[in-house]
Amino acid sequence: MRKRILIVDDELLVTKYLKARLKKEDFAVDIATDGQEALKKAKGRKFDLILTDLMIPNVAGRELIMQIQESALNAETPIIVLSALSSDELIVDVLAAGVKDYIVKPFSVNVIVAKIKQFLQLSLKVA
Amino acid sequence: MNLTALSSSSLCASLFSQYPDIIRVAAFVAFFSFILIVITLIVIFCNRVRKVRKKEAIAKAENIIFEELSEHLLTYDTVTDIPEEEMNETVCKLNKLKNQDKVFRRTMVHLMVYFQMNMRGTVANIISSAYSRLKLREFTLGKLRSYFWFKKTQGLAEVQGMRDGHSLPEVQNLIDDSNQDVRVAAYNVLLKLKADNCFDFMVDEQGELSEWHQIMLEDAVVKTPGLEIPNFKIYLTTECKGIILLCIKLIVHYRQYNAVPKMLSMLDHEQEDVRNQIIEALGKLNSDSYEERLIERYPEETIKNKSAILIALGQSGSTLSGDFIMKKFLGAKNFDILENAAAAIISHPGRLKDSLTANMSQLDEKHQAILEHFEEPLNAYGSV
Amino acid sequence: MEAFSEWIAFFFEYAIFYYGMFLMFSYLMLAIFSIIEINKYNRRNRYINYTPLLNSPHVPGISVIAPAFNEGAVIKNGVHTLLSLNYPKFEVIIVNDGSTDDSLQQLIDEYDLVVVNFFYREKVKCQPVKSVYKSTNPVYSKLIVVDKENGQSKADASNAGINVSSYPLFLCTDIDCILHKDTLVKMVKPFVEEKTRVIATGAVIRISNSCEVENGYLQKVRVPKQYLPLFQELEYIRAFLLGRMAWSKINALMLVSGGIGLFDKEIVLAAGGYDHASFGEDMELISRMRMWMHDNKQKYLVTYIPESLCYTEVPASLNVFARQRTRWAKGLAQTLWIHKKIFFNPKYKIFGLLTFPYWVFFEWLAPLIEAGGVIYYVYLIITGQINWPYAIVLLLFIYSFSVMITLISILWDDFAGMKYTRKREVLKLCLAAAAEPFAYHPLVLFFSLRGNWFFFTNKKLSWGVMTRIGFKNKTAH
Repeated sequence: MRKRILIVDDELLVTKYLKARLKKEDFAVDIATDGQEALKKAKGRKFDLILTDLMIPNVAGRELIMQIQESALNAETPIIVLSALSSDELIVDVLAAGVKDYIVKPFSVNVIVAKIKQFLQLSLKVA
Repeated sequence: MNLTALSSSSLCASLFSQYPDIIRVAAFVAFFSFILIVITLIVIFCNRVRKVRKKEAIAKAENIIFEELSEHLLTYDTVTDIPEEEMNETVCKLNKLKNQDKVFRRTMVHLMVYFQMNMRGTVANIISSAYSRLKLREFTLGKLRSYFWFKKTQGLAEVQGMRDGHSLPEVQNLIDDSNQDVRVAAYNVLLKLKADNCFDFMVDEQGELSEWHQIMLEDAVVKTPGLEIPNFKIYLTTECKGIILLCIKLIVHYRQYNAVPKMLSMLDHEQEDVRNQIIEALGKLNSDSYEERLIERYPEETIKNKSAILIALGQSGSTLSGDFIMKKFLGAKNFDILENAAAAIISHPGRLKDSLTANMSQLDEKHQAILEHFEEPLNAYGSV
Repeated sequence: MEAFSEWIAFFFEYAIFYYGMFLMFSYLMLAIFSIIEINKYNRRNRYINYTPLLNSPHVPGISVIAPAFNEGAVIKNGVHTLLSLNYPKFEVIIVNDGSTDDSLQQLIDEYDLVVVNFFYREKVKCQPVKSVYKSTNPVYSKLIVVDKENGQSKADASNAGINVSSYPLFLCTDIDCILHKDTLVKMVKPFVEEKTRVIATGAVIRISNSCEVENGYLQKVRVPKQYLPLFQELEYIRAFLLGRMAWSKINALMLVSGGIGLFDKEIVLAAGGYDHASFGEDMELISRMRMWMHDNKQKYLVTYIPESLCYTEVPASLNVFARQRTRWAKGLAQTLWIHKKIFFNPKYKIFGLLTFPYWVFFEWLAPLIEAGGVIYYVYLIITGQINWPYAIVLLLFIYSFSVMITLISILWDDFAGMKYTRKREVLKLCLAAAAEPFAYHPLVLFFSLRGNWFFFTNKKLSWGVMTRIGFKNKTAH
C-alpha cells in the first residue's frame, strides 16, 4: 500500500512540484494550504509523514505541530519542517517539540525525498 | 433640426447666464462630478475585468510553463542527464511561448526566479541552464538599464534570485545610482554572488543606511556560503552610522574578537545608539578586559546605555562585574537601572544570584519582588 | 429683523457655499495625494522579500495588546489568531478588564494559564491589576494575560497592557479584530525603513460582518449584506484609503485607529499613555504624542500603509451604532477642546497650521453647519421662499460630488489591492455609494449632533457593550 504524505505549505508552485516528484516515488500526496485545513486533514485520516512549513495562514508554527501531535490519528506521525525561517533558537525549539527534521529553504528536492524515505523506513522498523 | 437644437441650447445658455454666480458654479461642479462618476464607474469595471483577465492569463501561462518544465526537464537528476534533443525541443517550445506575448515572458522569468529562490541542487541547476538558453537575461538587463528605480530594483531582485553572475557588470554600474534603495539592492546582489570587492560599499556608501537596509545586508553576508569575510573592524572608522552599526552586528556574528580594542576605543562615540550597540556587542562577545572599560564609562552614559552596560556585564562571570552589578542593584534610584541590574544578576554566570537569595530577607520588598520576577522561569520570554 | 434675516440668507447662500467648495477642494486634494502615496507604497513593496526580516535577531520586538471586556464569544479564537502572527519577536498581552462573564476562565482552560510572580510597574496610570498569568505550555510562551479591575474604558485597559509590555513597540488592537498573518511584518516596516523616527503607524481596517470566518480565521472576504455595515464599509474605505493615506503623505495624520495601530512605546509613555477619560482615546493620544515631539524639538513621522490588515465587526443594529457614533463625536469635540492650544499654533507646524484647523472646521463643524443648512432649507420651504431650480441645482451639486468622491475611494481601494473578487460585490458598493447621501448620511449627521450635544451639556456616556455575533463559523449563503 502506498505511503501517504501530507504537505502543508501555501507556496502553491513548490507544493505542486513536490507533489509531482513524490508521486513519481510512488507516494500518495495530500496538500493543505493553511493550518486549519491541515488540522482537518490530520484529524480525518492517518498520514505516514507530514511535511510542513511554519509560516502558513491561520494556525501556524509550533501550535500546528502541537495540535497534530495531539490528534488521535497522527500523534506518532513523523513531521518534517520545511521553512525559510532559519534562526537557531527557532530550529532548536521546533526540534525539541518532537519534529524529526528541520530543512531550511532553499532546499534540494533529492535531499527531501531521501529524508522522507529514511523516516518512513525508520517508522516501519519501529512499527 | 439643427436650428431647433441651436435655439434650445442658446435658450439654456441665456437662462443659465441669468443665474447667480454660485448657482452657475454649482451647476458646473455638478456636471463635472456626474461626468467623473461615469468615468470612475467605467474605470472600476474595466480595471476589474482587466485584472481578472490578467490573473487568468498569468495562471494559464504558469500552468503551461510549469508543465513543460516539470514534465521534460525537472524529471532528470542533473543537467547532463537531459538528452540534447529533449532539451532543444523544450527550449524551442518555451521560446515560442516567450515570444508570444509579454505575459508569458514575465511569467517565465517569475517562475524561474521563484524556483531558484526556493530550491537548490538539481532543480536550481536545470532552471539556471534553461534561463540561459532562453536568453531571459536580456529582459532582466533591460530592467537594470531602466530609468525607473522600481524597475531597477525588480531587475536586481531577479539577478539575485537567479544567482546570475553574468549580469554582474550591469549590477556594478548601479552601485553609484542616485536612489539608495537601488544601491543597497545592488550591494545585496554583489554579496550574494560573491563578487570581487563586494565589501567596498562599506567605504563608498555615504548615505545613512536604515535599519531595513542593515537587516538586508546582514542577511546577504551571513546567508551566502563561501563568502570571504573581511575583518569588519577596518570599516568602523567610517562616518556613516549605518555602516558602523552593520559592522558591529557582523563582528558579533562572526565572533571577531580582534575588533574588541577598536570597539572599546569607540565607547565615547558621539552617537548614543552607536555606543549602545557597542556595549551590547561587548557583552555578547564576552572577551577579556571589557568590563573595566564599561564600568569606567558607566557614570557618563544615558540611562538607556547604563542599562545596556549592566546587561553586558551580566554576561561576564568575573567578580569585578558581579560586585558592580550588585552595587547598582542595591543602590538604584531609577527603576530601569534596578530592573536591568536584576536581570543581569539572574543571568550572571557567577554565584551572584545564590548569594543574594541567601540574603533575601535583608532586601526590601521591591528588590525581592523584582528578583523573583526574573527568577520566575515563565517570565523568561520577552523579558529584558 | 429684516437685516438679521438678510444676514442669515447671505450666510447660508454664500458663506456656506464657499465653505462647501473649500471642503470639496480639500477632498480632491486628498484624493490626489492618496493615490500618489498608494502607488509609491505599491512600487516600493511589490518585490519585497520579508524573509531577512523574519530571520533577523535585530528586529524591534512588538507587544500586541488587546483589551477584553466580556468577550467570551470571541476571546479564545481571537487569542489564537494573535498567536499565529508571523514575526520573530513578539508577545501577546490580553488585558481582561474586569469581565463579568467567563472570558478569563476560558483563557485559563484553553491556554493552561497560571498566576506568575510578575513585577508590575505602573508606568502609566490605570485601575489596579489583580494578577498576571502565563502559560505552562511552551507553545504559548508568548501569551500574557493581565487580570485587572474594570476601568470603564479601553484606554485604561490599554495602559495596563503597556505597563506589562517588554518590547519597544506595541500594537494596539481589539480582541474581536481578525489580523492578517503578516500584520506585524508589514506594519513594522516604516519603523525600520524611514530615516526619521516613526512614532505610530496605522493600516486599513475592513469590515468582517459578512465575511466567511472559521474558528476566528478569515476564509473569504465578502461585502457586508446588512444595511448599516454596508454603508460603514464605504465610510471606512473613504476614511482610510482617501483620507488617511493622503494625510500620511504630508505627515499630518491626526488619528491612528485603535483597531490597529503600532506605536513607539517610549514616546507614548513620555506623552503620558492613553487618557482613560477620553472618548476618542486614539486621536487624543496621537495629538499628545505629536505635541510632545514638537515640544522636545524632535523630528518624527506618523504613517499609514494602504494594506487591509485588520477585519472587525461593526455595529449592525441601530442602538449600538448610535452609541458608537455619539461617542466618536463626543470624543472628537473633547479632543479638539482639550488640545485647543494647537489650533493655528506655528510651533506645531503642519499639525497646528493645517491638520488641527482642518479637523475643527471640516470634521467637527461640518455636521453643525449641515444641520443649520437643513433647517434653513426647511424654513425656506415652509415660508414659500424657496427657489426650486436653485435648490435642485445645489442639491445635485452636493449629491454628485459626494457620490463621485466615494466612487473614487472604491477605485483607489482596487488599486491598493482588490479585496472583493466578485463584480457584483463592487456593484453593490457602487449602488450603496449612490444611496448613501439619503439612506445613511442623515444617521451619521444626527448622531454627530447628538455627540456634540452630549459634549456641550457634559452628559455622561458609557462605552456600552458591543453585541457580538462572534467567530462562530459563518459561511456565505
